[in-house]
Amino acid sequence: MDWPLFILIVSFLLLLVINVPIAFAIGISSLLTIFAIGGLPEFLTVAFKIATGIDSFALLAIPFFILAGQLMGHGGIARRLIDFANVFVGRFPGGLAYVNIMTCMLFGAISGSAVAAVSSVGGFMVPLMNKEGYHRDFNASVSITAATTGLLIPPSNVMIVYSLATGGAVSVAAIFMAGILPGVLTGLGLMVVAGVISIRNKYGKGVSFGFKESLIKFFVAVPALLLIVIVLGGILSGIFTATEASAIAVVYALFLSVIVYREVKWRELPNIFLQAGRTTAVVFMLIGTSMAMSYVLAHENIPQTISAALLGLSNNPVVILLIINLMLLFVGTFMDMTPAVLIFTPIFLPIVTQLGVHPIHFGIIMIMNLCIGICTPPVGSCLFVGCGIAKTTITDVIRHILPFFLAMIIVLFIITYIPWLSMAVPAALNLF
Amino acid sequence: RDIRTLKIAHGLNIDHPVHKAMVYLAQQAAEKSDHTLKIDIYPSEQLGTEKECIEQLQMGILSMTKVSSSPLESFVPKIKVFALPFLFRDAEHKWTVLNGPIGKELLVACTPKGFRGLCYYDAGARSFYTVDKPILHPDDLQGLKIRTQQSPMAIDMVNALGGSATPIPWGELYTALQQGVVDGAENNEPSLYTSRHYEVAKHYSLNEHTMVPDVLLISTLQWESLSKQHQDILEQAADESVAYQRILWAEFVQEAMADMTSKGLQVYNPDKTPFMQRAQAMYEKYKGTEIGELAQRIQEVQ
Amino acid sequence: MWTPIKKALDRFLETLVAASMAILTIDVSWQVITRFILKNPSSWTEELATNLMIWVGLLGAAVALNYKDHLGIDYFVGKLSEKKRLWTEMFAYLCITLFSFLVMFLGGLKLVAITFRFGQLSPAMKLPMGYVYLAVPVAGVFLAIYSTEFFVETFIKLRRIGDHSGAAVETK
Ligand code: NA
Ligand code: NA
Repeated sequence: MDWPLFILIVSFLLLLVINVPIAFAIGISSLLTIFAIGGLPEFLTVAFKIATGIDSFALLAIPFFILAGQLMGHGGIARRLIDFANVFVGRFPGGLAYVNIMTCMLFGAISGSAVAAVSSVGGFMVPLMNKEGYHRDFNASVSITAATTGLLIPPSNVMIVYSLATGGAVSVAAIFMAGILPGVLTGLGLMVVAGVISIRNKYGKGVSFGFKESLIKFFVAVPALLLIVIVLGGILSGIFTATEASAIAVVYALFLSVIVYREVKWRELPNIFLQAGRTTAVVFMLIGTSMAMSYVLAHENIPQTISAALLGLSNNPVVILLIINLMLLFVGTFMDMTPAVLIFTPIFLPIVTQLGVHPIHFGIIMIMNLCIGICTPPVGSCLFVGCGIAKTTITDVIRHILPFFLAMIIVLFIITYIPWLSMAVPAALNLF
Repeated sequence: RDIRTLKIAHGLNIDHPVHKAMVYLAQQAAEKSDHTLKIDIYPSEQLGTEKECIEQLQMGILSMTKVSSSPLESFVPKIKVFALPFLFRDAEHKWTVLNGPIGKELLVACTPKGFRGLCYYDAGARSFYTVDKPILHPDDLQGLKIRTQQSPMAIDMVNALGGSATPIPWGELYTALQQGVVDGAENNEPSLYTSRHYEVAKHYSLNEHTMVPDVLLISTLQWESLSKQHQDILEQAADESVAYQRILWAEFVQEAMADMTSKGLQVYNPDKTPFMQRAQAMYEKYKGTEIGELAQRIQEVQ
Repeated sequence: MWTPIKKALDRFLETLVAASMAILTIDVSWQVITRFILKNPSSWTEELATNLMIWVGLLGAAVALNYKDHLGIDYFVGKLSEKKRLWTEMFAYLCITLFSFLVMFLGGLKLVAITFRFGQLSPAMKLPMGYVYLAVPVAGVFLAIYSTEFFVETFIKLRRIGDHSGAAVETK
């Protein structure tokens, strides 16, 4: 390994271990690497990449989906979706686990963020499940892993980041649609695991509503679900772009939470805007410094080096995809999703496209893979938040979450080797 | 022995004629300098978009880049002149101007902005491609939403010709054409081909409204740090790569057109006169300005 | 002395970020309206939104630092003794301060200076791009202020347990 790359990896890991925030750890290790390379104005180069890295109209959808998610979180949407899910899956043994997963799929679908889903849905479901005698760490595991489905089911912020990382080779609309089947498949996989565990532990049923009550619960949730229709329908019918759709989502979420459900007061809005601004900033700082790291790697021809090494090993897409998946699973343990997508897309995408893998399909593979990463220690935003809301620790959760990881890994391999799952919907809609 | 390394970055993929011309340039520079001048090429936006590449030249982080003149407009306003429709009578007129004193003048105009223009590469001519019907007359543009680059010049041009300009990012255009967000777009043959937009927009009307060249730029900071000998070698290699690039471009256009027509693209050769008449509005608008005077001088070149 | 200044600074930044988020929403909604209802696409809305977003993203990063929102791994430092943990924390804040000052402030200032010198203008609004990039050094200053504050806070905590290491255990 050459000297600058060594500096990059070692300094990054050291900074992570001493709890320097990831965004700064990425920035500082990129800076040190530029010092090691020599010949570049160090401070200027990193500052430049931070500024230009976030200077993109496509990224504008991210603050909007975050804001829409915040509004829905405060606006009582999660509770209505839980009731909605209960109507369908509550009556089975382990029903609350299914309700949790299905609500995460719906809520995550709307908000586009796994952390928002785990804190809103998990925050409501885990105490409920605890009360019904479900094991606390099982409940945490369900909430944490189910929240990731929202990253695959559109809209999804990380998909916007992927589209950016491909330099526009993959449109936001296409990757959005590609995620639907894999997202549903992941949800089903998690339900199977939850079902087996629930039956074994004799966990009870959820609430069963009467017919009339079911109808009411169903229709109360419809305005919330309509948001998905507006966003996806708007993008697909060409009424607006992904960015514009995200702004419409905010306007609709405002309307819903302030005027229809009346759970958000006007005076609470500045604070919700601030919350969304803070979350946005965390993501943007990560994007900025990741762009600096990606630049450093490109400058040192690391993508070409890795590409040559991988293609030297094999020319078989099955083998290469296996190796890339294993590498990404490893990367995902210690790197958050956004930087991983920004840094590794330029490295892996040229390799796999050369072997005939479609960039849309590869995006789904990568995102599904990194969904597992955000649930694993030592760096796992979804895991951290989930443990926090369930009032448990990472050490306690790990044993319970393993079967769910297994399900996700199986789904990952199914998605990897059956491109149809990712390509069918965008193909049917003529998106590429 | 002292070896000087220069980095070129650009946004095109490695099959593109401009990339191949740069590979040729690097070979020429290496040979002529007895391998003391080394040029590394970073294709496919590895080091950033065209705008970012220009900014990196200003800072001296990057040595050279190739850009189309539209991102250059934000830095060197005079370059806008190339975006005027029907500025050049034909390709021959274009090359006479670019190789003559006006071409040199515009390359020199870059110098106070932190980079120097080295040479122009061929980027052909831009024409309309549309989903539903061909554009045989400016009236056909009436009510059509046409995608343009995010540049006021490009927007004005499409509006002047009769369309309704809609700036959206290039990467979103395939989907936008598919879903009817826009009814058409405009570009040269290789771009229509590599973007696969022809799969959606089946009508290509060769009205050739603009001929905007690509420009090869070098950072002033890096240029000044080169020895006189290396400067001369670089200029010579750049000039030689232009001739080579023009041949490659012509071949690429032919291949692209053959393949696209075999896949169902309809090609039309509309009468340019009515388009030229509409374009006069643009010239009226810039009359008396620096751009207007420059345009007049260009059109006076025989 | 510091507390009222800090409060004013917090309030100022938070108001700015919240207001910018609100303006962003209005701006892009306006863009949709101009395109579909007034049939007259407005070209500056997109640029204004992007520029505002850069400012929100970077100034917001300082606000987020103040709330300790930025993701990190506290697993390993959690295993250390309190004294060692505080030393590590101090070092981490020092890293953030140095990065904010050297890269974002100094590097950012140089970026702004170069951009102003060569007079790059944004395509639609003709706004000098220097004003957009100015977000980097400005955010750098605020990030450095907050991380220095946390550095000093940690240092004071450390001195307190150093002085009465027995007492610190008792109060726990
Ligand atoms: Na989603
Ligand atoms: Na992880």
